[in-house]
Amino acid sequence: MTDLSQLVAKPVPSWRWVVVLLALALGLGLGLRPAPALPIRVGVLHALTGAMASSERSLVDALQLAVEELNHQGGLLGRPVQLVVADTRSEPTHAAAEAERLITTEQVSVLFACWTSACRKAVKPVAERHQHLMFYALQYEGLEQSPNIIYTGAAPNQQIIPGTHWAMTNLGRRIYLVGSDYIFPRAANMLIKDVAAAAGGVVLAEHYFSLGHRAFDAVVQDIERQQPDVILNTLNGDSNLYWLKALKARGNTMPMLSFSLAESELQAMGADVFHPYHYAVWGYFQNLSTPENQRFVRVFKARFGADRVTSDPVQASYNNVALWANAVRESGTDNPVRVNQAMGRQSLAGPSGIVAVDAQTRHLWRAVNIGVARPDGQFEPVQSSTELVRPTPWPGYRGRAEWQALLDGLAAAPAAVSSAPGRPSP
Amino acid sequence: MTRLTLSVRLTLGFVLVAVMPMAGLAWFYLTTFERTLTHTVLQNVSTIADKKTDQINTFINERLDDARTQARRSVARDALLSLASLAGPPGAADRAVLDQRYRPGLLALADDSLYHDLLLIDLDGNVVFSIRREADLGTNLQRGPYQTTLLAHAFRQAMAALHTDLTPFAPYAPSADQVAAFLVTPVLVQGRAVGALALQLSLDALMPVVLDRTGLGQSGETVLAQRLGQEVLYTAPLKRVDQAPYSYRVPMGDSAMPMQQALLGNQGSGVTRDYVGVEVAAAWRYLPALRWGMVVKIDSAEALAPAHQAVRLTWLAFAVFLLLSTTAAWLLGRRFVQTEASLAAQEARYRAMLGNMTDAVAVLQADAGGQDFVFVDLNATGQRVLGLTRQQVLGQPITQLLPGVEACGILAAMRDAHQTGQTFTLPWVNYQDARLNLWVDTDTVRLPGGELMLVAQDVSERKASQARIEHLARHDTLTGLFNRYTLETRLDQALLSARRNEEKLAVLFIDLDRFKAINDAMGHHVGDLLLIEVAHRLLACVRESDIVARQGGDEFVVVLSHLDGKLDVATVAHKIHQTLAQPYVLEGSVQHTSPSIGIALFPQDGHDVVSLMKNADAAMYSAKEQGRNTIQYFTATMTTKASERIQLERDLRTAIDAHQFELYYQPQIRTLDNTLCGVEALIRWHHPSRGLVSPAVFIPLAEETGLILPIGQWVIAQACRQRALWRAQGVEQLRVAVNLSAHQLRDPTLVAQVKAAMQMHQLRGDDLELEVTESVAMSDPQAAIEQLQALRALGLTLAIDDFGTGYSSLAYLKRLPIQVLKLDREFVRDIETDPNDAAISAATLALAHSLGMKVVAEGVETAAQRDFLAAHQCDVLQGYLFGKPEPAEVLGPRLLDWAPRG
Repeated sequence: MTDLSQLVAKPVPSWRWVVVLLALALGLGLGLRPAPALPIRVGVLHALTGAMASSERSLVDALQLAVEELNHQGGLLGRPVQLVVADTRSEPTHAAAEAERLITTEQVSVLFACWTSACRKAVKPVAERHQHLMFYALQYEGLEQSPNIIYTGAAPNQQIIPGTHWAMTNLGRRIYLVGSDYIFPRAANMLIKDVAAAAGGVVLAEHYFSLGHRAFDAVVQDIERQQPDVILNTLNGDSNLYWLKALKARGNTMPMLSFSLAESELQAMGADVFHPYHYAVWGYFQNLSTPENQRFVRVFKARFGADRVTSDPVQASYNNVALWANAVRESGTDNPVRVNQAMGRQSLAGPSGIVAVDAQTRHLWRAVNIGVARPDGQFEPVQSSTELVRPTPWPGYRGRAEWQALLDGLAAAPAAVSSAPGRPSP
Repeated sequence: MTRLTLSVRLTLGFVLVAVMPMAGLAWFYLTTFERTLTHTVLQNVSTIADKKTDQINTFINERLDDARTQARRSVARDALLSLASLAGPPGAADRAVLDQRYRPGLLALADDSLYHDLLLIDLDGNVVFSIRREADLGTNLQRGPYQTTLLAHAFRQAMAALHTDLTPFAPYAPSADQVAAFLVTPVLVQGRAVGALALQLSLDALMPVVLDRTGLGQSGETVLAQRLGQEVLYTAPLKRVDQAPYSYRVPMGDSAMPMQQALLGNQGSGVTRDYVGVEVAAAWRYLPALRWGMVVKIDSAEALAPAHQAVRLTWLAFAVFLLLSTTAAWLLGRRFVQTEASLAAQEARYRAMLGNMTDAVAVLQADAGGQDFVFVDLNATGQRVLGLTRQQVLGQPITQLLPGVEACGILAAMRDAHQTGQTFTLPWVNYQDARLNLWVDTDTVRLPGGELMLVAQDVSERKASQARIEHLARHDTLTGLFNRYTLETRLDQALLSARRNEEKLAVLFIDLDRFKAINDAMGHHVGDLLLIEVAHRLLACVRESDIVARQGGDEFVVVLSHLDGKLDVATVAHKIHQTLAQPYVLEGSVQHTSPSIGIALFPQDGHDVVSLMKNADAAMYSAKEQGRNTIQYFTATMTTKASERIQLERDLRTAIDAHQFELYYQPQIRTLDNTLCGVEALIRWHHPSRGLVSPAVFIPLAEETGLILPIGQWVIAQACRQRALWRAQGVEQLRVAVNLSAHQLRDPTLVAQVKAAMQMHQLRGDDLELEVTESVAMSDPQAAIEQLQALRALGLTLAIDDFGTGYSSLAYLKRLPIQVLKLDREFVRDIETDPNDAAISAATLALAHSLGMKVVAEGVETAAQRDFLAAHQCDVLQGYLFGKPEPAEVLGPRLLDWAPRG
């Protein structure tokens, strides 16, 4: 019997052909493999210098951590994510210029930008003009809604209003208002006064100081004189250190509720200025005991140092990247217009719990927590909301037109309503 | 690994070649199709989920707007302010009056298709108005029995945040635990809160929005649930679980994955399992406004039905294809296997044929250049002939295995056959290499497919036998020397060579003296041995390049080539002469012979084979004539002699008929009384031109030519007639002696001839005497004795001629019926001077007498010889002293009165 294998195998040494075919297939595979994907560029616009730098630098870190985690998981849509960081120098006009540059020159797909409302209001027209997408991670005065901005900090009904109501209910109805002289403190105080009026409270004084202002002795003396039940603090940036130092210097431990001081700032100022009755209203505290938060804090410290702390704006910035990334995945593109369309339906389980975008307002459903400062710069919760609170940038007790008129009035008002102590604002 | 059967291997090959690529393509197509379809389905489900989310949000936002708007209505504010200012229980009359006043206005604020109830709550928390007047009316939400209800909680929240929101849905006790949610709005009067307005929204109002099934197909469903501690509470009716909303709850860990994810706040989509474990394509969302998780799902079975259909169709098509192609492959394969089987049978036959062929058969494959050939097969005979096994040769080039193929021309034939396709036959190829030496006939055939078949028949044995035959043809069988034919061929070649090289050449004719005598005396056997020995001696005398041949009989020819001069020839000839003259010891007896050598030289004695041979022959005869035992060079005169001899032979043949023979008679005298007692008849030839020819010349010629028999017969007849004539003339007492040759003695008709002749002439026994020579009598003693006895029986007398010259044995002599001895003239001639001869003669006489024989002495020429012989009692004397041979006419008249002459 003839050996068939010989017949088959003899004419061609078949293994050699197999090798050749494999090599061809390999070459074809290598040849057809797509070119390395261009990275998705992410614009970060925060103050790296100037009065706001100490606060904002942590946000840049949070964004960097989130992007690193994204890239570690393989990037987005098969593309790596690249941070493009720009410095606002704590100046709104420069921030606007940098936003323009990031969008047009750096071709970023999204902006994570700003701390102060001044910065936001300067950048907002730029984002809107370019039909772009911007994330804003800070609690603010509300009364705003842009189709190109996702507001992930607390709306007034998620911080200022419940905080003021809590203060008047639990600390007393005679309130003393101190703030930096720009849009947020003024708008915030307007809301506070609404709450005070509704709840029968008395505003003893209302003082504004320019950003970076350091001399607070006179105000402290005025407070000592007027003896309010509670001080409502809307100072921002470095001024807080000098404000707290001034209080400390006078031994003033009057109850105080701050709206722009979080763990980062307290830790930066140190235990020297510790104020035992210093309260804050936030949706997130670093010492929340949920597993998600514990993981986040551990990772953040591991990445940037054990002495670093997280805060509401930090975790909001971190969440923002995740929210944006989910929308990018859902849209299948990094095009800001398309991603923006998908933003309204996003929700996720973050360090602070469930975070959900309210499609109508483009703000987040958030928790509201009130904590008292500890010497180590952390907050001890004294009251937590059981439910997420619907964001209401325009509180419902006035109509939208009414609010806008008030806001316009604020913008038109002279810059320094009062920088002099002892004289209540009108 | 075990070898698989052919059919299994064919099947595997078919699967490899046909089925696997098809299956791979089908798989690729199906997975791609299914992935695409799944993606599309999930997108659709997600879109539905998003749309539903939007619908729910819109619904709720509309309700929020309702609440905010109604709270700012004056009727609400007025009613609240009025009712709040009153103290006392709700049933009080003044309160009832107010209730009645405001009720119609307030009723208009709440669309009863949506809202179960509208309530007013004063700043302190007292419920001061309710459309439905349920149990909560009149209670205080801060302190009363319903302070832990959703309404109470929402009231507190609204007052704190000046904020309007929808509470979660939950059973509400004052409404008989109907599931409801509240929209509580602070009512402000000049920025100051005076109380709140609450709208009670029943779950039923939401359900139409939630349960809308647009785009969900047959199996689609929207699942809604909320988290209750560590449990999942389903808030809308379920398709697959028959439980009322807000009553069916399962532990969080046991709930379906999509709902778990939704309730954790995540959103997404995917193919997963629903709450009863059915595979579904689902999208999940968190609805913050309701604190619900929502899962929009559709069964995979339905959503992916096209994919599954495609899978089924594809596999069906694949199965059909597989069936068809397997059938086709099976049919083809069966034919192939059959073909293969018949091929195998053919190959087996072919192998058997090849294996049993006596020819060596090799199949070879040409290399790329067609210059060399590699073994593909080799049959058993080939293996035996080459001394190599099949395994040793397979795949090896022929030039390596058989380096001699090029030299013998086989390789060239193979290349030609490979190129032209013609069959090449090479006969008698001598293949040689270090190992083999073969004679083969080869055929080279190009096979279809480019292979070559080389068939070789091993003819080495045939070649050997043919060589033997050729040797026999060319050589003398007795001596192994060249025969006459070869001699001529070789001589011709040698002449060519000599002519070309201008060399001399010598032809030596050698004849053995007395060979005939030895042969006759000792028999052929001894003669043959003598010839063999002579051949050996001749070969020893010459160079290898010289030619030694046996011409026939006792004649040998030696051709000496490459000679420098006559001196060489003389040396060799002399050496031959000396060597051959040495005694021969043959079968215990010693024989003597000597050569007569005739030499002819090239170029002076002849230019061709014929002339050289003839001249050498002539020279040899000349040597014999010179008295034998000599060397004679050819001279021109010998040519004449030789041609004379030929003429003589021709003449001899006609001599009897021409009556040219005549008998002479010599008288024999009785010693005792000096009377005539007989005559010896001696033949004489009267040649017409040459005159009288001596018997010494023509008798040997007659013996050579066989003419001796008729001549002898004539002699006997003539002698008998003459005796009868003489008797008629009155001569009574006279014995006629006739010589018999050896030929005659061997002639079986001899006795009859003699008897017939005697009777014809009425002769008596004592009228005739027959003489035979000694050697003739001794050559075949038994035959001779019988012949002689038969002759003796006729009464005549027998005599031995030439007694003493041969090697007569007396013992034999005694047995012969001999009455007379003739003493040879050699002895008689010197009988007076040579004592030896005298002694021999005397001894012979004494011996003959002792045997009772008479002695006749020949050649008696002197009186002294007569006296010596007479003194020794010699009986009869013959010789010139008494009379020479004379014709009958001369002698006849003197017979009656005999008077010796001289």
